[in-house]
Amino acid sequence: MKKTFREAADARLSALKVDQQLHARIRDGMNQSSKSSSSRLKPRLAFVLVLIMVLGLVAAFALTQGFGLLAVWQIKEANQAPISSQAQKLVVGELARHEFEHTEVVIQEALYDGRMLRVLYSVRDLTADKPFALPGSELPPDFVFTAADQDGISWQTLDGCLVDDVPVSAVGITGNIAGELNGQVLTISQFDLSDVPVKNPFSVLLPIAGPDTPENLRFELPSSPLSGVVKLPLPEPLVLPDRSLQVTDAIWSPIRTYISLEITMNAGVPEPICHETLWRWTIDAKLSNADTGVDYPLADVGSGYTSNMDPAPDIGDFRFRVIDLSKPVTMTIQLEFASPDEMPQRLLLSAGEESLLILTAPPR
Amino acid sequence: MAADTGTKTETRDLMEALIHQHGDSLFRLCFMCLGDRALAEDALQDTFVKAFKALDKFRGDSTYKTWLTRIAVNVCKSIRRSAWMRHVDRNKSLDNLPAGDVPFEMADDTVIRAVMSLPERQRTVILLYFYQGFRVPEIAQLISLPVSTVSSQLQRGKAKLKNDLKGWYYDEEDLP
Repeated sequence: MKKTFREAADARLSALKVDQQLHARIRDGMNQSSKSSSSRLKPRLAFVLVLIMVLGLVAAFALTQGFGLLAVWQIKEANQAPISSQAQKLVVGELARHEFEHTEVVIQEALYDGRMLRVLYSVRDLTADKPFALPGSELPPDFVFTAADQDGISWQTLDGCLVDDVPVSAVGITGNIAGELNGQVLTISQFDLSDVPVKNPFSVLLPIAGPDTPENLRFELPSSPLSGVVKLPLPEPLVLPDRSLQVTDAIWSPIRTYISLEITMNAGVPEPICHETLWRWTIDAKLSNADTGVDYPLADVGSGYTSNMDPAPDIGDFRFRVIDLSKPVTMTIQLEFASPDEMPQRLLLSAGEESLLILTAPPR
Repeated sequence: MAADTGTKTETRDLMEALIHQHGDSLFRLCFMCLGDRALAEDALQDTFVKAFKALDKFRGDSTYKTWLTRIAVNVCKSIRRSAWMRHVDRNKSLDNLPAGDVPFEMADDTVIRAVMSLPERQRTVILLYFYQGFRVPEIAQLISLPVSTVSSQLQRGKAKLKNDLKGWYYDEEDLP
């Protein structure tokens, strides 16, 4: 007898239940949110927090004459790595605009820093008579953007864009806030262009309304020169008895310092050692000024095996199996650190006892 | 604050009832969206915390199920966009799920894997239609897409599943 999908799914997934532990966790989450948002219990603290938030929003607004890309990014990445004040020099504004029947879409600002393309776009309900929420704040979780839906606009997030006609997928943080204008939603999206050989200038097409996107949502950005962006010389590989570590790309930009690290584990190194190495570099990687010891906050990281490994869920989450022990295993770590205003002369990349020294200028 | 919808106790009682009534199915929905048990637990917790915080804004123009599903779908989407999901080569297998209290056949496993391997948007639409039981116009409102787009995603997803599963699980009368 045929089952419905619902019956099949409930049978196969019957182990997934809200047990006591998960229930307690949800309850804890609600308790925490209740405590942190209770103005009646802590009126003075709440007032201070609101004041700080408002001042922060006002400052962000004033600095950028509206919620610009960097301001929105900081709001979405609250408590994350800071962005250098030099970053504003890379921001390009007023890029493209199109009016649909119910909404207006504006590519407000975009920025390319040699690695990532970041775009801030506005979708505005032309008939709205007030902002959707406190400008700069999150939209309600059940928010419905009727006007954008009527026009078929992907207002929540972009799945991808075309850069020099090459499709590129969105990565990293993305998200929406209420804009300062009536009925306005501001959205930031990020695209990794490391694998795209961009022209100068390069073209970007944001398909906000699907395949019929009007031509005027296409815009161009320069890929060179980029203020404050430096491709760093690569250090010598670090060769250890059972592995070697090689920085394959290093870019200093006012937005972030991007470092790509490739680790090759020698043939015969067992999986637990590979696993420990991969996760130590994924979780504990540090970039610091080699002369002052000052650390730069880790903003984002990605890692994975690139050869000779197969997933092995039977031995645990994110565990793999060496396919051929007679061959080396390779892994890649993509690291993004906050960049301070001034580039130090020597950077130290490390995780645990392993470290590589990156000279920011070639040796004389 | 959520307590504005009633007394604090009433709000808590309502949330407990919602967890009891919809928790399991939302948990499974999140798992099928994200392909990872730990992330699905995170998503479920986030869904109910967001619902709790926004309860006073719930206008009652949809059912609680629709409202919670909308929040859960948004939460899953947000998790999928996070750096963690971007970089980590996740294990989407069902193999490490412990056995539940309902016996299942291998065919059940096959159909779940097929759905979980669909592209993101098709998967979401398929899950909302076949698992949560929403109709196309409801799904369109729920995920903020035009009805025509939802219909086409549903058709594509069904076509792909039919091809993969040889029609094991569908009754044609279910199709819109």
